[in-house]
Amino acid sequence: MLEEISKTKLEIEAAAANISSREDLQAFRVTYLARKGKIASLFARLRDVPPEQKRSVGQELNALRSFAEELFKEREKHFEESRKEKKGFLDYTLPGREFPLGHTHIVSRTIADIQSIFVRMGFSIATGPELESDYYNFETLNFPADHPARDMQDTFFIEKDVVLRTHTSPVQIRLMESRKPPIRAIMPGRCYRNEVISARSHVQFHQIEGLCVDTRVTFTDLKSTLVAFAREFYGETTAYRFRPSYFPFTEPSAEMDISCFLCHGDGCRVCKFTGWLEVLGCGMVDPNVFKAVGYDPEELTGYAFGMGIERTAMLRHNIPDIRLIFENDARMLRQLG
Amino acid sequence: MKISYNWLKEYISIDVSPEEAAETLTATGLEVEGMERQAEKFDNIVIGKVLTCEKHPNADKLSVCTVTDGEREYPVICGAPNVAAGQVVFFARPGAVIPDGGFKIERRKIRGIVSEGMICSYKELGINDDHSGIAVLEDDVPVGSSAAEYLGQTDTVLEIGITPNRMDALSHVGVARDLAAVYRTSLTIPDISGVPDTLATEAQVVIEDPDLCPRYCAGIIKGITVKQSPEWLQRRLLAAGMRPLNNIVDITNFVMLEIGQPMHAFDLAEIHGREIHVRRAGTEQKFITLDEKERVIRAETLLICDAERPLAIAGVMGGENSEISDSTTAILLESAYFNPSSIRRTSKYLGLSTESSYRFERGADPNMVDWALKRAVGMILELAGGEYLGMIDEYPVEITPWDIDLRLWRVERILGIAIAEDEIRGILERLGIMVDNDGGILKCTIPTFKADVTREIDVIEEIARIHGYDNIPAKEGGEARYTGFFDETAFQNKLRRFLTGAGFDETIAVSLVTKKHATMFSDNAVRLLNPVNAERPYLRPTLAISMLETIATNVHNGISGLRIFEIGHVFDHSQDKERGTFVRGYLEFERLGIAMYGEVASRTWYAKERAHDFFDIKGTLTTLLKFLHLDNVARIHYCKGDPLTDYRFSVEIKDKTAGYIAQFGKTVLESFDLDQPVYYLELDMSVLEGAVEAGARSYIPVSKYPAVLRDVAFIFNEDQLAGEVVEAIYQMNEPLIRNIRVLDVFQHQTLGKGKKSIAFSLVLQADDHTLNDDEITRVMERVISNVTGSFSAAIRG
Ligand SMILES: [Zn+2]
Repeated sequence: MLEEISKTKLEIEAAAANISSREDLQAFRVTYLARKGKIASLFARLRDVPPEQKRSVGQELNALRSFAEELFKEREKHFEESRKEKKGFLDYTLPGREFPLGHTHIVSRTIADIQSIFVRMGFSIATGPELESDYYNFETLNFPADHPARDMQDTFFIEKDVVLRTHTSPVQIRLMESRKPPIRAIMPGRCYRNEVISARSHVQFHQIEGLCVDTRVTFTDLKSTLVAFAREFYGETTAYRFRPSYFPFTEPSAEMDISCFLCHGDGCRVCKFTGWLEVLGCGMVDPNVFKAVGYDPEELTGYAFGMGIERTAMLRHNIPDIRLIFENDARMLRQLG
Repeated sequence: MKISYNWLKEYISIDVSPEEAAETLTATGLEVEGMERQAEKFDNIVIGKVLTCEKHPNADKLSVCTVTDGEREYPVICGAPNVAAGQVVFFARPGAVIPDGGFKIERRKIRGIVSEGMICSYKELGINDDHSGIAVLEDDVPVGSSAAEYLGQTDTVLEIGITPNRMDALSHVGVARDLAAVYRTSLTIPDISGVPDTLATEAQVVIEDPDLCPRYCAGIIKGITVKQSPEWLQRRLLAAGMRPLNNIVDITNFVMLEIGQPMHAFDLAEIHGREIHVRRAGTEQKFITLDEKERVIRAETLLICDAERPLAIAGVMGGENSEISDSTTAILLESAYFNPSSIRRTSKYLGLSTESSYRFERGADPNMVDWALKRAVGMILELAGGEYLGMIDEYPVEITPWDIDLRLWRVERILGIAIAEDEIRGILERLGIMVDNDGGILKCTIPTFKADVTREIDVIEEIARIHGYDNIPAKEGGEARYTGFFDETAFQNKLRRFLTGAGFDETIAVSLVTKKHATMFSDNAVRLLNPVNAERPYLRPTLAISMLETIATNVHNGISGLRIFEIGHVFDHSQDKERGTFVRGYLEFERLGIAMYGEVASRTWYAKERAHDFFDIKGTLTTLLKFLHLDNVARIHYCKGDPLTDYRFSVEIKDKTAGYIAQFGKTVLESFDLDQPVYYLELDMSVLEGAVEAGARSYIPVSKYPAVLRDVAFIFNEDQLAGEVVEAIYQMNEPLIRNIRVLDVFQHQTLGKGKKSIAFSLVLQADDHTLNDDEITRVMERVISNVTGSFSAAIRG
């Protein structure tokens, strides 16, 4: 009998430990503590115990009942508490109340990224009109009439001497006309070219140009500014090269290439297997441009540079088609902004 | 422009690979954009020998051969009728790609028998059109040697991008000159001294318009035989991208590609009166060029004529009437210099750009004209036979080399580094510029082939590009002068930050729009003269067009709702032709456009879905005004009678029209294929920016005493505008009233028919004390009496 009592005690202990719901708790009570439960049936058998043992077995049975009752109360209390907690139950997996999120267009963002680098180098920011006179768009920038240089830029005409600007360079002229040197400024803005729309070209694009004019500016300054920009914008390890080119408003003129960041110089489709990406045009301001704005080219020198925003953004963000940039599909705006 | 590397090396002796030469050229400003190694096309195509040849058991017309490439024997199925054992042939091994058609050779079965290669015809190799059978070569051609070698296809062709300032580099000699300058060597120019300086009497040359034709040379050769050019000459032309025609035309093209001087050969028998007149057309007329097209010639176009009729459009293209044919026996060879602008205008007008016009409009070398003529004569006598009767050289307007003073210190002033005088002299002299030191100043005599080098700065560029841009260091350190700071995009960016923070997506759309939309929104929209896309010839007069297009795109793409903004320029013709924003006659403004449609938010567990309505756009405007501290100086007015909108309110800021808010009407929406409401706001950026107070705002002390909230409700006629009531309360100028909110608006039968209730919540506060009940009651009574007195209103109990 005593053996059976200690066996039941172990059983009760195990059963109590396994209570994990109110149903389990109820079952525990029914199995052990109810009027027809196991403990009651053990008490019933007390009658058959020899009288000399009755006392000690009775004590053991009472101890067993107390043990079971205590376990039951303890477990019951535990469930009471967790129910109280349930009143303030927080389903933190439900979505929160978000506020609406807006996105900057990828063109604006790219301009902002470029601007911030030049602003830290002491450049101001200027803007100008998109509809321009031939005078500002070409003549003052040393594009003679009937010169093949004009073929470099397919132009939208409004009338004979009024055009949609083909580059942001007219802002250079307006800036030099309205301010005194030294000048250090960049000029972002929208430009237009009379080109067939395709994945690679569009009737409009954005440019950012830079101009620096002072008494002792040389080609070495041009290089240091643009190398600093390229390193910051394209990465510290970017390799670069400058090669001679031609722009009517600079002399000498150069193109700056950087090492292709897609293939790291090994050659890929984007860099036409050269390992180099053409990222900007630049040069020393042509004396004719200074003359056109009434500056003395003997006293002042300067450099200018320019780059295409869409091309830069397409390279940086792996955008395959320029048309996507002006389509403004909300899903794309939200991805890149 | 295509440059044959083998050809190039006839003028310069350098021992560098084509790849290295390409890099050097790119570094001097002649950008090599592509390279074509001819031999690459013939990879795995070798000279082979047919060892055995038997009929195919399953096909009548096929033979089963064994071919060796000297190392291995290959089973080959061949379909050519002339294949036979013992032949030496072109053999394409597995891995080869047949040049004509790009067919790749692999091991495969033909009618049950394995074939591991192909015996090729000349056509399959892309050499000529001979497809009568496989090419059978001489027995002594070494088996296993390269087919490319045998075919002379060993050249490398450099594709060079020529900028408009490099008229000196439009030829093989010109390109070689840059290489010579870099590699410090000299050019070898062909010797023409064998052609005598005889004066021709067979014909006459009269330059009637020397302003357009400063020099004209004509050479006469009789007794020539027009035939195919020898293979080496054909190969040169093909490598440079020109199709061989006959020996005479080929030689003129060869000389052009060699030295850059375009030439033309006339059939002497077709030159009436044996007279050449170089003159303007004088009247508009028709002319058939040698491409058999009839072209309309303008009066100012320069022509080459005989005694009676035009023979050629000077510098652009010859005429059909005097073209060289197989029966031509005597020719007049033209080598001339024409005015670049004139050729460019003619070429542009005719829409006809030729190798010749391309060079003339950039500027050929007037002093190379006679050299080129003699060079061509020499070659013709050698390759076409005949007798040289001499030349006529009319040079009425002589163009001589010009001098430029180069101040040595100026080189450093521009480039930022000192380059030794010896180095400078060497560079310039190798480029053909004569140099003479005159006390620190280099007197540079610029050859006439460098028409773009006209100033000291141009000479400095020549030095810089040969010295190498990579040899000019980036400056280290050094201080830049302070220039003051301004940012003309600051206001844009301020709005951009505000709006993206408020949940609006920024868009940038195309400024060019359709006629339908431009004219719908403006009577003065600006049209392009030469639109590339005929559907979009107008500049947008309002951002509304762009934003509606963007919305249409997104609706089409299944986006259920959107709030967007764009900052961009809009354009119009100015009413007053003499005035304009920047360019006389035109208006150009920077605007901010905001548009919204569809869902604000989808249904979620905490809120119902909601669609945008008028109060979203109005609230956007008023929040924006508050952000700019303009809410107290802005007014919104209802505008009557507008066919484009269901309703429209103009926005005035500091008494200036700043823009409007609107809901577009059916006509507008339908024209964009839209069928749901679009709420829109457009503001002028300069009016907005101009209204914002410059400088720092001053602090106004905030009250330390508690504010009191009092609600009051009135019953009005149902058409009463709440704004008028709020305005009237503010107009009382009661200093204790700090804010008024509209709490609720409702109609109910208990209020009476045609009535509604509006409840207001007033914030009352004083700066210097805590309000007591009497004060509050006094203010509220004033408000009630004012409202009930000014409007047909009753206090609601
Ligand atoms: Zn790459």
